[in-house]
Amino acid sequence: MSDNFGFSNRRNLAEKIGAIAPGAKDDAAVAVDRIDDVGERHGFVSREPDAPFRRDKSVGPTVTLHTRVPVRVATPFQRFCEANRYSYWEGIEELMKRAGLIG
Amino acid sequence: MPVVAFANPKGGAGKSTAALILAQTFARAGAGVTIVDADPNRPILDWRSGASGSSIRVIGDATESSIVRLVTEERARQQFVFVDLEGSASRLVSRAISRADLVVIPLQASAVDARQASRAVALVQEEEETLGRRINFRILLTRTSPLIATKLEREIVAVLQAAALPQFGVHLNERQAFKAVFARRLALDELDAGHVSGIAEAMANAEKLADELIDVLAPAQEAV
Repeated sequence: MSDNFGFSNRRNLAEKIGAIAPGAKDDAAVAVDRIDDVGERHGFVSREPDAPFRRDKSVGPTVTLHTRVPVRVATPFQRFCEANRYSYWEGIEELMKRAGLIG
Repeated sequence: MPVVAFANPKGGAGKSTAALILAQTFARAGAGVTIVDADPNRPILDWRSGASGSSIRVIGDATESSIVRLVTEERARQQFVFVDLEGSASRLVSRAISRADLVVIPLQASAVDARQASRAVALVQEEEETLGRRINFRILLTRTSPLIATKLEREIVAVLQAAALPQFGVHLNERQAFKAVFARRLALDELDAGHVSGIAEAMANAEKLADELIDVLAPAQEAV
């Protein structure tokens, strides 16, 4: 509806929206770490926990060995693993390397 | 293209409500709008899971490391990108503000909200210096009575004016319909007038605010 005072010349919301187009803007000039420094000065610090450290356990395909071992063999083997902080399979691997059976 | 971040380190200030109501209003007027929901409670993502036919696109997996990329990608795709930020002082908030064309700082008329809002203002002002460009910001009073301003509300408005802090002339009023959009997961114009009162008044309030917002954005767009 028109009026005599020019108020109806004001663009409506849809017309104003039509003037805005999607588009990129190059504001990557300032490195994020500089923004982080500013944030930290104002108490805007990281609230995300660090990802927990996980050991790389990828050792390839595995099989399970069940064996009854004489105590005279088991006891020094367990002491060897304990002293070197080996798991049992790592202890076996180390002894086989020393025997030249694996590289 | 404009990126509008809604920030106040105080929770419950009205960030999500303002972001969603404004996005709905722009979408209803034909705009392409994305909301990046960076609030850990995911209120906008929860709203999107409902039956609303609104065209608003919602992205909910924003993190410190992804926020800048998400905003950059969406601004190239959509007419408007709104970032609903978490109610805490975090690095994610700081990074999002650095990519914003406008920071809307909602606050209820309470001393706690106002003090936390002042932290957001200080951050915006120093980021401006670091970036060497203007980051427009506006304070938005939320949950105000449409009928009468409380004494505290008048005091806070006077303090903002005395400090020359820019604020929206339009407030986001306390309206049952604004709460109902979250509860029913619908847009304002999809609510059932038989169950929710004041829908027309809420839509009128939202449209006035949207109109003021786009006028605030216009000079920044022309400068790009």
